[in-house]
Amino acid sequence: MGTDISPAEFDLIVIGTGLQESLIAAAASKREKSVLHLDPAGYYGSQWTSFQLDQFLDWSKSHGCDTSEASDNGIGSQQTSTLKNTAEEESFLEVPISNDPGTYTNVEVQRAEGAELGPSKEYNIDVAPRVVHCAGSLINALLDAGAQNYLEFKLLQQSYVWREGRYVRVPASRADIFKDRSLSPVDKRALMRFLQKAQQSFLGQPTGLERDKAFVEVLREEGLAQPLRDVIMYALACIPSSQEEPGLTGRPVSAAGGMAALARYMESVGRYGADTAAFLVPLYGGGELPQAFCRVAAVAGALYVLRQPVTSVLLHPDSRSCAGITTSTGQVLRCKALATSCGLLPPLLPSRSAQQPDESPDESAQRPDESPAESAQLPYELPAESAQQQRVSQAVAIIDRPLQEDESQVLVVLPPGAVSNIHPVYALQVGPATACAPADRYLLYLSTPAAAATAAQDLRPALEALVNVHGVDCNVAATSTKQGEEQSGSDARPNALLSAYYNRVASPSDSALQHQPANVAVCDPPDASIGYEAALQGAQALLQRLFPDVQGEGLFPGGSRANDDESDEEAIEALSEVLDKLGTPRITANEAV
Amino acid sequence: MSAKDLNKVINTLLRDKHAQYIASFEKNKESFEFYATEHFRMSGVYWGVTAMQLLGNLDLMDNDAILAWVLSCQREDGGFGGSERHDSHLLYTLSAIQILALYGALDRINADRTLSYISSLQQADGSFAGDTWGEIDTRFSYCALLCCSLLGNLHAVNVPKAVSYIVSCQNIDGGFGCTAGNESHAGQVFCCVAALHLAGALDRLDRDLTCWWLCERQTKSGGLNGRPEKLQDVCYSWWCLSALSILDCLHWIDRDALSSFILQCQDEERGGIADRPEDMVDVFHTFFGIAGLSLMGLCDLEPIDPTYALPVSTVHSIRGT
Amino acid sequence: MHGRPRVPLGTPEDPEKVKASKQRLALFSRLCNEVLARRAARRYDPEPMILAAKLLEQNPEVYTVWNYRREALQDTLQGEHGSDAADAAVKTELQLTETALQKNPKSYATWHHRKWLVQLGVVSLERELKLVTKLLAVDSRNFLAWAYRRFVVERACVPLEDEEQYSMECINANFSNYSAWHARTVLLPRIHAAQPTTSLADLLAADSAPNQAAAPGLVPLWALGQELDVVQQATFTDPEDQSAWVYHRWLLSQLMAHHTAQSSKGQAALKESEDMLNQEIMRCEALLESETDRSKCKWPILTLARLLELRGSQQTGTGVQEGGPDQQLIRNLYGELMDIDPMRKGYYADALEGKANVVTRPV
Repeated sequence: MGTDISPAEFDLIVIGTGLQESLIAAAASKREKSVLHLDPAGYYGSQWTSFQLDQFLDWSKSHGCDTSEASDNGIGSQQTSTLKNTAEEESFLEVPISNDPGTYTNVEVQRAEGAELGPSKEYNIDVAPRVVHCAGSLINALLDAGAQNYLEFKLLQQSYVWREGRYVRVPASRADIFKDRSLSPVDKRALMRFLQKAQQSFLGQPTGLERDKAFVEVLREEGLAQPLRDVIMYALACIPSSQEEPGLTGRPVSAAGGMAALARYMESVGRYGADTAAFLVPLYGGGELPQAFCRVAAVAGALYVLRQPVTSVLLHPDSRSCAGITTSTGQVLRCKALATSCGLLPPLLPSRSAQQPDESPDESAQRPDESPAESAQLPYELPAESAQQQRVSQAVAIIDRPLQEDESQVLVVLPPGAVSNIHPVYALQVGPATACAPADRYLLYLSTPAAAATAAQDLRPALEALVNVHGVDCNVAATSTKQGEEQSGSDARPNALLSAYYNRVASPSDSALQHQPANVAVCDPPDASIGYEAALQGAQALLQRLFPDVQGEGLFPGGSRANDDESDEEAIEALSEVLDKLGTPRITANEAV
Repeated sequence: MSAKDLNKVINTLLRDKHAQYIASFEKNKESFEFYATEHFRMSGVYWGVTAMQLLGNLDLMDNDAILAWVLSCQREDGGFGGSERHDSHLLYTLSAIQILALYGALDRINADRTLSYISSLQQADGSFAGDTWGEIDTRFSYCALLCCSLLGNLHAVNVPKAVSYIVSCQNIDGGFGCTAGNESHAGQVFCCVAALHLAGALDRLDRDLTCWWLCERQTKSGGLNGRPEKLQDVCYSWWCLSALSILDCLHWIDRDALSSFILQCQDEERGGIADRPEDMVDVFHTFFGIAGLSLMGLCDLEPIDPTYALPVSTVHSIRGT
Repeated sequence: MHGRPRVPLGTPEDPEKVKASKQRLALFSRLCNEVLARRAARRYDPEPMILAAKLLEQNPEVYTVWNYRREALQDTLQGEHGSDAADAAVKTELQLTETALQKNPKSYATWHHRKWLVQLGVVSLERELKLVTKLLAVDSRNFLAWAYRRFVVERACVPLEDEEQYSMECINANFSNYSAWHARTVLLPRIHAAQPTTSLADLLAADSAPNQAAAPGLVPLWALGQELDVVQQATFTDPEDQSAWVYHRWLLSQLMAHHTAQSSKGQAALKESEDMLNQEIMRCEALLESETDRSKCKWPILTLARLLELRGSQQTGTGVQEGGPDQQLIRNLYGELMDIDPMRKGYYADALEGKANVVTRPV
């Protein structure tokens, strides 16, 4: 640090390198906006990053003491606006910002005594683990942005539902339903009929479904029994919260939302060959995704500075729009628009009434959480009192063998009630095959909407069901042995060598957009779902907020997707190569014609 | 193309456009397709001139030049190549004989030489090789029997053996494959049914089963596909339809739906017919589309004979002499 | 052109593309001329072979050029068997045909060239089986690849059971793969014809007629039962997919043939095949009950009509009893088919009048 950033004025400044931040930076750069992309941290990805093991342990230590209450109030108490005179004739309101957003709480790490974890740098531990829909918006954005070559993916090998203490393969595709002899023929028919309806509704064909009815209600009416409902709602549509009593709080997902999620699943399954899974996981962890878009932005001319804390945001005093930022070195950088990770900014506007009257309707129309199309696309509404931010309980365990033999990447869904859990628990296992763990080590991620006081309380029963936690948790050692199983070692579960629990924020704070100027976008944290759909749709809405002129276009319009057409260039090259060796042709092309 | 264009209904045969398209095809020697298709140009010419005859526009073609060119493609062994620089093959020998028959010019070649070429390709099991390199296929059985029939000497080959080989290629679904044990394919079914018809051996196949398999080729689009769970394609309008016609079961499919599908595959701007609506046209599909319509007695076309794949008038004049 | 989208007239052309396509044409036609001129001059030295290979990589269907290569190779391959020159030549041809098949997996001429090499006995059949498995994984309906597979399997004496298992794997991956169902219709009769019934004594213990497998082309009842189970999985998963139904019709004709073969042995011998027929009737009825939209039920309705016809001919030996309850039911079913599947009205009308016997005649 020390050297000033030059130039000092940009169309867009982005603080934080999370997924939405990087998408906005790439989309703006591709539209020939000048972009400065900063991150206070020394790594890419912000709340979407992947850590090596040592980094992860350091990170957990830095969140080791429970600072949740302190920092939650912290943002508000920092809100002391001061007037600042710059060298220029203009004067700005300077609002200090928090570089410690307090996103993570209740962090607990336990390590088994003497456990060999292997080389730290061979781990890539996602802070907000998730899977990629083969036919989802993320893949489309990667292709449209030309970022597909920066990444490699592997298909998920299998999905399971945890039912009565056993792994039950998810009938994940038409081929699976055909093969699965545990489904009765009549159940096969019911399940397939419903999946076909989802596809019809995706294609805009009439299905006779009432869009506003609860999705779960529709499933009941179609004669689908509880186990099949669980499969459809949680394993296929990937709805992150409980849809049935007793866990249901708030409004259940609508038929339209559920069908859209199901259709996305059906589009994804088999996308990469007959009988292939619907989901991908990136090699080297999910942190590769924001980085890929950063590379797109950099190639398009964006300027990147890591390890650059920002101390304040500057506002035009009259219009209360953002004018720029001040870095920790005291440099003032001007911008026309600002995007930041969530949790950094205090509410810059005291209340909606303070905004210019003509801005208000416009802004509210752009808010992603109010758009009706949005609610049809995104069924993920979490139980949360409106004033509070949604929180997710996460766990990660390092285990010594895969859950199922020879399966490196798998997803296990524990429907509500499977292990006394209120909401579905999603357990994602990755391993050496996706370069996320050293040889013979695997990562098992668990996530569920926060219901109990701590992540450990929410997730310990689920982790215990899948792995032997004896080594990392002496409290549960006595009870961890499954019923009817001798302690002598018939336990087929892998052993946990390390386990970590934490809660993380999964929704923007109430003030995120409402109290921000129109040229400021606060990015969402990773949401509670296990996919990327909400993040992508949110990014598009934020891009449109910052640049109203791109309204209606996608994130990356006129996508440069590779053309599969047989290329003349290739043929010319091949033909010339062999013909050139012949020297002067005895017969020319003209003679032949 | 906008959605509006896609929904547009073409309900007449654009005769003049197609005639222009076919007539211009031979003249456009600048396209890559012209070179890429040189090795099967004999068939291309057969499709072109037969379609023109069905349209009543054969006079638009340079018929003397075509005839001379066909004759120039005969090789020393008596067979014909796909064009003047290519080797003899049964496929192109049939196309050449069909063109000569259409022009009433079969007397311009030495029939015995061609017949001996054909009979030399019959194998011990009754099957036929496409050329001296030994590829076996029931398509070649049809080529051989039809050539012999057009040249007035069916028994230049061993007909009973040819029949027994074809019968050995019938599958449990009623269709036929390229060799014994291979999957049924509508093109192959046409070849085998027509060959059995030429051999007077239609009693050797399970007519109802074959026709049921054929009528199940019609998809919701009205078009026909070549195998179960495949896409419809105009060329099957001929292959399925001619076989159904030979077996007297044309009424097992919806002819109105099929004809509207064929008409929908026309290129209104350039003329010609494509495999499916909105695809690029070619002479192959243009012929099969027109031949299908002719077989259904539609659009005021000259009627075509389902077995000979030649105008009925041509077949009459050959059989009359 | 198969599957190539039409471009409306007047669509502006990219001058770069037009130039490239003209250049490509000039080069390709020059290469054709060079190769065919050397062929006419009967030149079989390495240079024209390199040119010929390049031409075939661009357009694998130019059969004359494959003929040219075979002429050039014939002496090397047939003469000194196992020589270095022959090995190198075979390697070149395998590489070339593989490249050509990647370019056009439906090139008759290329597949034949490869067959020709195999027939000379100079190619590892194991490797061929792997190659064709790979190509079928890309396009599981490629009938030329299936034909080549049968050709290799036959020569390599691959056990029929292995191929039966392969066909099942294909069906498990996608049960709309009619090519794989077809493969079973060829394999199963051969497998059961080749197996002496005694080795299956345990399985046949329940079978009422131990000698049945001796009848040529007949799959034993226990095996038919397994196949009917597999078909049920497919028809309940997607009743509108015709692959499994067409296969089912064959199973019924086999069932019928068993019944005919045993008709002289008295009622007890007939019971098993009659029970299986009734089970199929019940399965069709269950499928129809589970579906509210009859317009999607063409296949179960048609199959039920045929099953009832079969039961009638089993019971009376001649056909459905005139004026009996089944006769009216069959009439109604065909009537319904004419409504929901009007394209094949003509067939249903003929079937109703007994003029179209698609299943009641055993194989």
